[in-house]
Amino acid sequence: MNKHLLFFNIKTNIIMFISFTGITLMYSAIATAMFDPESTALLQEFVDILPEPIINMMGFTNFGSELTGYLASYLYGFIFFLFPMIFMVMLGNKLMAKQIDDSSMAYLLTTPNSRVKIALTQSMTLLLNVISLILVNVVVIIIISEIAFPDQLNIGKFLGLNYILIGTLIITSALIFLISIYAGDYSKAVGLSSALVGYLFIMNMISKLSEDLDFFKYTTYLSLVDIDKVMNSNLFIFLAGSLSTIIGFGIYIISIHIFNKKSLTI
Amino acid sequence: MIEIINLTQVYRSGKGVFDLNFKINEGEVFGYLGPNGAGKTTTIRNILGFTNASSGKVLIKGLDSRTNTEEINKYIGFLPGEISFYSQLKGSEFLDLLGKMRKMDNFDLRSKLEDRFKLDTNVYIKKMSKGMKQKLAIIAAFMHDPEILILDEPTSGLDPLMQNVFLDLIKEEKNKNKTILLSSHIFEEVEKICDRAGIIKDGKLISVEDINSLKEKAEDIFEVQLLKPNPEILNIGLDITHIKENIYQISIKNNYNIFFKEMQKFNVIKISSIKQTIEEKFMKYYGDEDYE
Repeated sequence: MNKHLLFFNIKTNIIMFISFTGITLMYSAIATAMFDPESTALLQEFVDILPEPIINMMGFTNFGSELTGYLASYLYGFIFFLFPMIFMVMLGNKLMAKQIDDSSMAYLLTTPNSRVKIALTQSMTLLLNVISLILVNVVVIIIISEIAFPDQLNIGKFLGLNYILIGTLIITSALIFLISIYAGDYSKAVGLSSALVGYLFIMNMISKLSEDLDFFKYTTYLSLVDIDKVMNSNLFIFLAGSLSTIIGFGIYIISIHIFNKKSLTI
Repeated sequence: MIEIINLTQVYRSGKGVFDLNFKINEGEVFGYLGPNGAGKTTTIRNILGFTNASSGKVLIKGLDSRTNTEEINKYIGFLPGEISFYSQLKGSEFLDLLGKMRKMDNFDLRSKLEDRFKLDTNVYIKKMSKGMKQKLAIIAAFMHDPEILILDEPTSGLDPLMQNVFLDLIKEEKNKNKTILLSSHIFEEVEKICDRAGIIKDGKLISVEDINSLKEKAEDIFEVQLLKPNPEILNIGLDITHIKENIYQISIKNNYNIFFKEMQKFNVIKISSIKQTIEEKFMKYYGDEDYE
C-alpha cells in the first residue's frame, strides 16, 4: 500500500464522505432521539392500519418498546443499506474505472509502485471510507441513546448488528471494486454496479413483503442483517459477520489479482 | 537499454502492432515516427507494461517491462499522448503527489522546469489551457531526472516558442546520456533532435534508420508561383506538377542546386514550402502503392 496515495485519495474525496456521513447521521440521530417507548406503541397502532406489505417493505416490522429493535427496524432495513451502497458505487468507480477509462491511472502506474500496491491502496480507500461512515453513525447513536435513554440500548447486540452490516458492506464494496476493474469503462462500471446494488436492495425488500415471499431472503446477503437472529444468537452474529468479512476480502484479493494481470489500454 | 523483441499486439478490431523488433541504446534519442493510428501508442503501452502483448516482449535494462514495472519505473519518465489528469487538483498538487509516490527528495529540477516553461502550477488543472496541461505533463515526466524518457507526441499543444524550449531541453538531456524515445508524426521535430528513427505504419515497422539517411530520403515540396504561366518549367528535369495557372509544385530530394539554378531562369514571384505529414513525406519512398 502507498500511504501518500491513500492520504491523497482520502483528501480528494472528503467532501463526498462528509456528505454521505452527514445525511445518514442526520437521519440516525433524529431517529434515535425520537425513540419513546410509549409513542412507539402509538406509532405501532398507526402502522397497523397500513397494509402489511407496505409496512414490511419499509422495514417497520419491530417497533416494540425496546430501543435496539426500534433502531434496527428504523435504520437497518433502508437507510444503512441504501446510502452506503450509493456512496460505494460513486467512490469505488471513481477510484478505479474512471481512472482506467480516462487513462489518468497511467500516471500512478508509472511511479515505482506495483499494480498490486496501487490497487490495494484504492481498495483500502474504499473500505476505510465506508467503514468510517458506519462507525461514525454507530458512535453517535450510542452516545445519544446513553444520554437520552440510559441503559436502554443493548450495546452488545447493537454492535453485533453493525458487525454484520459492515461484513455485508465489505462484500458489496468488493463486488463494486471487481466490477470497476473488470468493466474498464466508467459508464459501464457505474451501470453494472448500480444494477448490483439495486438487485440486492430490492430482493431484500421483497423478502420482507410477506411470509410467502420470505424465501427471497436467500437471494441476497443483505438479509443477514436480521435483528431477530442477532437478538437470539451470538453465534449467528459471529458467523454472519465473520463469514461475510472473509468472503468480502476474498473478492478483493481476486479483484487485485485480476487488475495485476489485466491488459490496460491506458 | 530498451529492447523490443518480436512484439505483437493485436486488438479485437484487427489493428495493433505486428512483430516489432528494435533496440534503443543507452544515451540515444530515438524518434518513433508514424501517422496517427499507426501503432506508436500501442508500442509505448507495451514498453511501460500496461498491456499484455499477444506475443513477444519488451526488455528495459534487461528486465521484462510487463512483470518488473516497480523496478523499471524507478528509471522512467513518461509523457502520455492523451493527457488526462485529476482535473480537480492544482498543478502543484498533482506534481506533489507524483513526487511523493516516486520518493523524490530533490525539487530543484521541478522548480527550474516550472520557470523554464513559464508555468504557474498554482492553477487548477481544469482551468488550464491545452498548452499549459502539456507543460505540466512535461514537468511531470522530467522532474525526477529519470534515466529513460518515454515521450508520446510531446510537443503537441505547445506554441512554436515553447516547442523550441522543449527541443533544447531534450538536447540537454541527451548530453546527460539519457535514453529517450520520442514518438511523433512530425518529421521536422524528429529530424532536429534524434539520432535514429523508426518508421511505423499500420502496425508494422517499415524501417529503422540513421536520421541523416532519413533526411536524404525525405522529399521537400515547394510551391512556386511565376509571374505568368510558363510550361517550360515542366522540362527542367525535376519532379514538377502544374497545380493551376501560374502555380507549380516541385518535389526536391537532395537536388537543391539544380532547383536554385533552374529557378533563376523564370520569373518567380513566390516560393513557399508545403508542410507534409510523415505519410506524405515517406510513404512514397517506402513503397506503399495504396498511398496517394
